[in-house]
Amino acid sequence: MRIFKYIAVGVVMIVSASTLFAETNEIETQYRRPSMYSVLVSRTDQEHSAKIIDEFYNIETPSQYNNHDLSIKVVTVPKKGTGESDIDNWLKVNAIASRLVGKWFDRDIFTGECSLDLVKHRGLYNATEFDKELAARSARGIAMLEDAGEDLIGNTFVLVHEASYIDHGKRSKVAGGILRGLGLLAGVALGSQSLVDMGDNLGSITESIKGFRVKFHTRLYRLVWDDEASKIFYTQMWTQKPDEKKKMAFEDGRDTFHLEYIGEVTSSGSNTSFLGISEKHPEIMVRKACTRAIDDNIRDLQSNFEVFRVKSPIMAVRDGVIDVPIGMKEGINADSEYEVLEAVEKKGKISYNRIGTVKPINGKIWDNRYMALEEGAPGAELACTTFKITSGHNIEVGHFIRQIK
Amino acid sequence: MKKLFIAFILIATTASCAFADLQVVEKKGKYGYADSDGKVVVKHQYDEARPFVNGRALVRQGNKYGYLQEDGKVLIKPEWDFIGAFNKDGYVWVAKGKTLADSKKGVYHEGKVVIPAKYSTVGFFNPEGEFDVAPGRVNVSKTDSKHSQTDMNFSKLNSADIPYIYACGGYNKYLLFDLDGKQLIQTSANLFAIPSDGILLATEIRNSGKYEGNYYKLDGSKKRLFKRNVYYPADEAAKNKENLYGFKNGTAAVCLSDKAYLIDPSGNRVGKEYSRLESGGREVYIYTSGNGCGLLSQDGKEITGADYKVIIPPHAKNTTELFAASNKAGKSGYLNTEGKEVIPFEYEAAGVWVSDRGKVKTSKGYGMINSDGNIFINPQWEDIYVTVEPFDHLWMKSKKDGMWYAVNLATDKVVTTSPVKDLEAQHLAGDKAYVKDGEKHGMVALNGDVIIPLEFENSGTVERAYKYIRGLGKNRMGTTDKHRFLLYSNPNTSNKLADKVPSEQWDY
Repeated sequence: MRIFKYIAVGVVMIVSASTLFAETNEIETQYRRPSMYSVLVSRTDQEHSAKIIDEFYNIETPSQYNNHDLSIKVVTVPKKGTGESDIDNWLKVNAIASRLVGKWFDRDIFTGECSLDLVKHRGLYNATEFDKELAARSARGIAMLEDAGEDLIGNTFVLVHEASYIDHGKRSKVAGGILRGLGLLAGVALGSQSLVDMGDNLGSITESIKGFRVKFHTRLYRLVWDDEASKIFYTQMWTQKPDEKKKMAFEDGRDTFHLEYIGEVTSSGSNTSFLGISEKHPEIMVRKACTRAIDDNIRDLQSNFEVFRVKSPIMAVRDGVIDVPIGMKEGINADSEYEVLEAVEKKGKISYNRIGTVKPINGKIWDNRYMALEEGAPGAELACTTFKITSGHNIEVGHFIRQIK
Repeated sequence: MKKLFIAFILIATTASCAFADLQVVEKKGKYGYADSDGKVVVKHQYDEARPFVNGRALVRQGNKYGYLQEDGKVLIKPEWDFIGAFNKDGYVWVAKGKTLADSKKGVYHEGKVVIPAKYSTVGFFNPEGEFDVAPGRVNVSKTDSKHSQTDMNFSKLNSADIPYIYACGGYNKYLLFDLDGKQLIQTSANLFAIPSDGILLATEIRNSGKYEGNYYKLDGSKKRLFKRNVYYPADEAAKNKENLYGFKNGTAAVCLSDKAYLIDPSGNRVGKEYSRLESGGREVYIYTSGNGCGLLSQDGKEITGADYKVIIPPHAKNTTELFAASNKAGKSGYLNTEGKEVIPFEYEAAGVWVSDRGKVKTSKGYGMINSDGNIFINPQWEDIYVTVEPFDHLWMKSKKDGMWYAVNLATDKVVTTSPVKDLEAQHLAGDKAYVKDGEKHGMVALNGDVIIPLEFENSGTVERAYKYIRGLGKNRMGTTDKHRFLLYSNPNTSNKLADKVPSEQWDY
């Protein structure tokens, strides 16, 4: 059995340099991530649908996921009222599951040729070792392939977002005045200067919104990669050279593969602050509102559905605390709780064992939501969230954490 | 997205090893510093503390930043909303404000305020050129790790080389200070040339499309050399036809529509008046007088007579500066900065001197010549695509078939087996070329092999296509690559949810 510490290599250098992180930072580390394909269902009757589409293309895949987008990311509906069945039908009719599989194996649609390069890359396999074991058809090689299937291909998700645009332009100025007044009263009553400041801040935020809010409804699906699907693919469709027969076997057999519906959530459409964004760049306001709403939905889906939760690497450990480069974007709050996982590799397969638990420390939660820094949000200047170790021993850099609640 | 600059951390690590005495220590969420024996030298009081770099450590108290010096004492009090990294001369910018863009910025030298934090922009001069000091042109991040819009990183500039600090105090208020913070000048002109010889050339860009410029003495007198500002059209300035030049070695050139002359730092004319003066590079000017032109030194002495019909200054990137010129007999060659005809005037034409070589024409065609005057590419070509970069190969157009071939400059041998019809440009790396056939554009290797097929509408798309396949680890674009690239470049957003997407719109 071998403890899987592949990612420790890239991380230790940074930790030894400093026990703290430079402020405007996101650590680029190598670890296995789930993969994500995002689609937008856009209502053509909405006034700002074109802007939302434009900005949707500019929204990056969250860093905890690999980008598994296909060439079609936007589809349209004429008006509100899209049902689950419409989206399910679109996913089925367009054989999305097969296309996700095709992307995993970089399948050439003109010749049928496939490759394991992406699997090796995202699975962090030693490419030479992987090829050798596969060529030898060894038990270890087959196990590695199965492992790749479970941990990688089977962890491919589709998110279908529907946007609703809300305009409260006329009300926003009044609301701003009220909020400012409330802050003042509260401050006087409690003798707290900070409350007065906050009221003032909120008043400014509401006034500056200019009424643009957007809600997203997001459906989550998962690619099913079971024994049956993998067997059919490898025996009937896989080829490393142009092969018309295998090419057609895949084309005719696209319905071999399917997606599994997991669940759905809707964002609150609550206020997004546009502090720090010039009015000369309204597209950035749209991008921020959309990004925040989608991030909120991803966070809620992770919270509600265990299968969608991600592991995050521990970057530093010291004196009973750990640092991890996740934050409010991932839904961390003072009540969150996380398990600490150790990756263990045995005969080509990787499993994750719980070895402890941690809780975030109030005041040390990173606000890494989109454009939080420009907004001047408290905690935005941090580069990670610091957690207190609540149970477990021998927790090290290279281990992971995953949300429990 | 926020990026970790590993280089910054690693550099911090390396540097901190040289000042290894004080290390960051933490207690109950607060940070301080301890020496190598573990004794706390700076008590735990900071919310963030960085390792020492070059004897200084960045600290944060609440949301305010400052620096400590090597012994742990406060160098810059943590009262700044934003702060940069020190340059090698000990200067650092500081700023106060809700957002960086709107903050007021100042400059410290070590622990001393040099420029108070009153300005929307502060900076040093980039030695490569002029500076537009309009508000917001310097865009620096908290850690000073981003480059500014004018591609200047404050912490990377050597302030000692050009010992002035500029600042913008708002609309129509641009200032220059010395390194001690003494204000030398305030002007409404926002384009500053690099100060030289104690004089600043400052130009205001008017809405009318004209430039308004003058020279300002930096001796504290704030005296302008001309009583009235000089006006000249922006487009003529772009062609160097009408322009004011900054001082170099004691003189500056004033070029107007009908005359041109040199002035000294008192504003007095130096030497003769000419119909035109043009910068000839680092050391000389090219003057025009009557029907001829010649070379003029910076102290106003004529290096050559006006014996030439045309003189072309060398490109900036040479180790030897030679001027292509044609004499009144119609023969071309090259002059050096002393006016000596170092490459004989026996050619039909001579091209601009660049990368220490020139393109010359004989009765047989174009070839290439080096600074020793030796022909190293045999003159037989209809044209040669000369590049600024010193590539090993250049593309040349054949007189026989009108096609373009890549030629190895060391051997004068053609390497292209499949010549191209129409060359657009040599690729930045020198080993490929942008080509076209009618309205279709593509890219080929030196031997003519197609890298990007000639199927795209412009060279910009070809470049993106090339970056796309390189991102895939490939050296040429296949059919499927092209199919996917086109899909990703022009995503279709009009498919209806109710309809099946046509198969040709899918990548997998």
